[in-house]
Amino acid sequence: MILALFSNEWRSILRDGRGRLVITLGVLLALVSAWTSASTHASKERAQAAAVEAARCAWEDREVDSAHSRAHFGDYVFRPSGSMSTLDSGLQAVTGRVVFTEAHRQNDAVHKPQQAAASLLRYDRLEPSTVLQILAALVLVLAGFGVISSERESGRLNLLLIQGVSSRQLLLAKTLALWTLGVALCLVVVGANLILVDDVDIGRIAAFLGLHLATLWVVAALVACISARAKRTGTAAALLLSLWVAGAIVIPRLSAMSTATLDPLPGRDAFQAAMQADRQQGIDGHNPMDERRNELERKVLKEYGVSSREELPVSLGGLIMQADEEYGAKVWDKHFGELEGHLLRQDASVGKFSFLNPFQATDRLSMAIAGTGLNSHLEFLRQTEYYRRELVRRLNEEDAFGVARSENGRLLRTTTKEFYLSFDSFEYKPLALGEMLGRRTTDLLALALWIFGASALLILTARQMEARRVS
Amino acid sequence: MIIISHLGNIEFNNDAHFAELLPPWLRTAVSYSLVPQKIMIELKDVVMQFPGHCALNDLNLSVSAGHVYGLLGPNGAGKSTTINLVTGLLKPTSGSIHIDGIDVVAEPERARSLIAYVSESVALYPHLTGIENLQLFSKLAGRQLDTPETKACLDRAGLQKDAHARRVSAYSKGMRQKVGLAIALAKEARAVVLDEPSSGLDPSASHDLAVRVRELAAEGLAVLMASHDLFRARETCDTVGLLVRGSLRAEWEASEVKDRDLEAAYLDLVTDQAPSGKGAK
Repeated sequence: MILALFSNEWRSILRDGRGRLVITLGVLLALVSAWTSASTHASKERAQAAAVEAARCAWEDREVDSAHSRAHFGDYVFRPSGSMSTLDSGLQAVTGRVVFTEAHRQNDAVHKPQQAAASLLRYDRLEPSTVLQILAALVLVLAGFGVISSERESGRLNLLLIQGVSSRQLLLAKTLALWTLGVALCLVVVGANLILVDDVDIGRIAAFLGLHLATLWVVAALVACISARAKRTGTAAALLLSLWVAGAIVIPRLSAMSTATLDPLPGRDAFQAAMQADRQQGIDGHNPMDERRNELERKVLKEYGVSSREELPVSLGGLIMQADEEYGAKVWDKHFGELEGHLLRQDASVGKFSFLNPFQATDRLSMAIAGTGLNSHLEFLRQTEYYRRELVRRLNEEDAFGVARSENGRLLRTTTKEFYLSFDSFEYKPLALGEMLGRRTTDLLALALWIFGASALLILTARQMEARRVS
Repeated sequence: MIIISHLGNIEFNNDAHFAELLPPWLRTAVSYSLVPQKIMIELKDVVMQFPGHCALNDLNLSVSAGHVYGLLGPNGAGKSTTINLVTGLLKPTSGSIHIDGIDVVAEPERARSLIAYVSESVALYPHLTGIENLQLFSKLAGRQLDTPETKACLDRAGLQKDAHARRVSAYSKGMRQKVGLAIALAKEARAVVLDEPSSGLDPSASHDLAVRVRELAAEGLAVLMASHDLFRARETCDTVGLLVRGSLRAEWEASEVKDRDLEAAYLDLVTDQAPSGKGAK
C-alpha cells in the first residue's frame, strides 16, 4: 500500500508541470554547481601545482647563500584544497590556503583574526553543498507543501482512509516520496562529482552523502507534517517558506552576528600590537645594542670557555637567532592559542544554534567532512607554524654550526647546496574523518535530535490525523 | 426502474424457484427479496456531540442489503456527520454503528473494508486517467485489477469507453461520480454511502446516477444516500428518512409517499412545525 501511494506521488510530481519544472531546475542547479566546482577546483589545483613547483625551484635553484639569508628568503606553504572541496569549499575562500613562512615572524596574511564570525558562514556560493543544504530543501518545500493538505482540501483524504489507507501509511509514503526526490538530487550531485573529479575520497563522499540524506529526511518529514497539520494548503506553503527563509538565511546570520557582537574577536591591529609588545620583551636578534642579546653572548662565551666571539668555534649570530626564534614561538603560541580559543568559543556559540536550525548542523558537519572548516584551517595554521619552526631551527643551527675558523681566524661557512636540497617541502596532513567528526559532537548530537524529532513528529502527526475530526 | 424499486416490498414466501422464472437481469434483485434481508448498516442510539452543539441526537437507522435509504434534511441537519460516522471517519460520542455486524468503532479497518464511499464531488487524482485512478484506489483497498477488469468495472459504472484512458482532470462531475461508483464496485463492498451524489449534476447525469445506484442495490449492496433532492431521493430510494437538527424526524417507504406529500412534510418538519407526512415519528 505504501509502495502504491509512493509511486502515485512520484507519478503526480512527474506529470505535473510545476513538479517537472521544480525537478528540472533542481537537477540543473545540481549539475551546474558540480561542474563549476569541479572546474574551479581543477584550475586552482593547476595554479597551485605550478606555484608549488615555482617555489621549490626558487628554493633549490638559489645560489648557496647563508642559512640566515635563506631563513629570510623563506618558503611558501600551500594547503591542498582537497578533492572534497569540490563538494564543499567551506571556509577556504575566506581563510586562504597559502602562507609565506620566514624567520622571526608568523605571517597572518591568510588568517585574518579581524574577521567576524559572520564570515565563517557562507550561503552565497553556488556549490554542491549549498545546493543540497539549501536549494534541495527548497525543492522539497515547493514540491511538498500540499502533499497532505491538498488531499484533505480536495476530499481525497476521506476516500483514501475509507479505502483502507491509514494515516501513518499515507504520511510515510508521502514523506518517502519527498525524501527520494532529495535523494535523487544528492545522487545527481555526488554522481557528477565522481565523474568530474579525480582522486575522490570514497569514505568522505559516503559520509557527505549520508549527512545530506539525513538532513533531507528531516526536511521531508517536516514538510509532510506541516502539510498534514495545516488547515489549508496556502497556510502550509506560507509556513514552510517562512521556515525555509529562517533556517537558510535568517538564523545563520543571526547566530553569527550575535556571536560576533557578544564575544567579538580582537581587531587585526590590536592583535598585531599585542604580539609586538610581547615580542619586544624577548631577544632582538638584529639589534646589537639589545641587552638580552649581550647577556646570551656572555653565556655562550662562558659555555665555550672563550673571552670573545672571534674565538668561538660557532657563529654566535645563529645561536642568537634561534633564541630569538624560540622566544617568538612562545609569544605566538600564547597569542595564537588565545585567538584559537576565542575562535573555537565563537564556533561553539554558533554551534548551539544547530539545535534550533538543522541547516547549521549540516553546514558545519559538511565542512568537517570535506576538511574545509574552521578546525581544518586551524590545523593547517598549526602545521604551517611547526613547519616554519623546524625550517628556521635547521637554518639557524646551520648558521651557528655550519662554520669553520680559517687560519687567520675568520669564520667560514661550510653550508652546501645539498643541505638546502635536503629540505622537504611542506606537506599538509589533513585530520582524519573520525577525528574531525569527533570535534563536531555537538552538531552530530543536534542532527541526531533533529532526525529523531522529525520522525517522532511524523508518528505523532499520523496519530493526530487518525483522531482528528474530518467534518 | 420502478419495478425494481418495488421488489423489496414483495413477499415471495421463500419460493426461490420463482426467481428462475424471471429474466436474468431481475434475478439478483428478486433473490435478495426472497431471503430475510440482512441489515448491513445499523446505527443505534447514536449521539454525536461537537464542542458547542449536538450534531446527532439518538439516531437510529438501518439499511438492509439490496435497499437504498435516502437521508434527507436541510444544511446542518447532520447528514454528512452521519455519513462520516458510518464510514468511520468520525467516532460517535455514544451509541453504536455496525456494518454487516462489524462495529465501526471497535474494528474500523474491518468495517471500512466492507464499505464504499462516493462523495458529492468525487475527488480523484487529476493527473491519472480513469483506469489509473480505479486501479490505484482498488489497490489501496487490497484488490489488484488488470486493465480488462478495470475497463469492465468502468463500463458497469457507466463511464463511456473513450473516457477510460483520459486524464480525470478533463472529466465532468458526472463522469467523476461514475469513477467513484466504479471504485465502490471494484471494492466489492457490502454497503455504499453517497454524500449528496446528485448535487450539481444536470438532470440527465442525475438520472443516470440514480439508475446506477439502483443497480448497486440490485446487486445486493445496502446504499445509504444523503441528499437535498427530495424528488430524486423518492425516485431512487426504498426508504427516505428526514433528519432535522440531528434527529430523525420521519421515515417513509418511498413507494407510499407522493412527491407533494414529501415536500409538504419536509417543509413542515424543517420549519419545526408538527409533522404531517405519513410515517412521521
